[in-house]
Amino acid sequence: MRFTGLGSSVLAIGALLSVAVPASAAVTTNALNANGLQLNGLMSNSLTYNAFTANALTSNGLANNGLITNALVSNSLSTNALTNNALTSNSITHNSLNFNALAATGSVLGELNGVAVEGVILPDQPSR
Amino acid sequence: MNRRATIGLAAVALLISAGPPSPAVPQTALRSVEVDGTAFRITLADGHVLGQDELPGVRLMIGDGSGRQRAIRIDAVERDPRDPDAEIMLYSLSEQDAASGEWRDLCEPDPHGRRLGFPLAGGFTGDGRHIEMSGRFLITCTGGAEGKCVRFGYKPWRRGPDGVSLAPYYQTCVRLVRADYCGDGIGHTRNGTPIDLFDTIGIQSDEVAPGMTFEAAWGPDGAVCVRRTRLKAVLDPAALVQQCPHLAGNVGETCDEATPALLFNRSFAR
Repeated sequence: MRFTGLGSSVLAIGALLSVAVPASAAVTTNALNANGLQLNGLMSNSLTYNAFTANALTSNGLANNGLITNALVSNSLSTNALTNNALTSNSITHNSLNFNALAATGSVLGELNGVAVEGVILPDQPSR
Repeated sequence: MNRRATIGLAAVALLISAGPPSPAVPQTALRSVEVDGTAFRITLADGHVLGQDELPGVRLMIGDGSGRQRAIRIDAVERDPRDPDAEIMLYSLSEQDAASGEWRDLCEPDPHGRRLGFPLAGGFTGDGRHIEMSGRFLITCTGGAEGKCVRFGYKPWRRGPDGVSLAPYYQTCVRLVRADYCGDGIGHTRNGTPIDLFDTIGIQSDEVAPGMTFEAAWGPDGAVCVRRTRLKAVLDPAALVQQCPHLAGNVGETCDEATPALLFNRSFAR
């Protein structure tokens, strides 16, 4: 058996399918190294799909739970918004609307003080 | 203080027109125009009383007897949503400029940005007394002390929970809101200065006013006593006594809520 004149893979497949080789030499050299172990067993099933699916845990777990949900939304925004808005708005609203007042220096009566209606002009009302 | 004032009955004429006032428009007899609480009541010759929803568009020619008239138009009507009795009417009013003929809002915006006003029977004297004036009324805007005090519940035509007339309370309220300590019609505050007023008859209750401290006790003729003035920069205690000699001895820490008075108020010490 000579290995140096042809590409190694072609030679290996050909040897498996059609060449009857001595049992001890063929099995040991070609079948195990090129076909059986590398393509089917290790790369496709075990390592690629199962192992890297677990990468999703790394991305999802840290980004969503730790930073976005807990730290930013709940703590930072809630605290700041309530502190600033509640104090400023409530004190002014309460005073003017409910039981307090805003002082007025004078009246806005002007000349409409102690007056009388001397004429009335109705809008056009055909029925009357 | 009467609830109603019949306004200028003999002099009132009624015009029906879609256009501006004109001598050519036929005049019809009008039975009466009344101010009932804060509402205009217009009764036509046939006895029909115009409903409040019929008032938008009505123009009132208002005069003080001197011959000069002002054209006031009712643009909209609404009930005061803050009035538990639902009797206070608020009007959007505009006045026609005599020169240009344009209609302009009669009222300046109140603290809530609304331009509303209403009539009230009687009138105010120069020293700030609200008096009955036969057949006459005033128009106040909601931003003015006269209007605010009605809306606080001190309706001068009403009686309070204990049966007493609210007219003195209304008078007192106007003095208070304007910081008219001396009862001479001169206010000593600035527009928009927050105050908290209360009474002992259950109209304005004594509630917590964070940051505010007691200012004064009030009656119809001004302050009964003053713990401190509302705005020191406008009137300091020394000037107060100088301007209101009758308050001498009633200015300082002895003035509190136990003082016999109709109304009391707190404000921010400034």
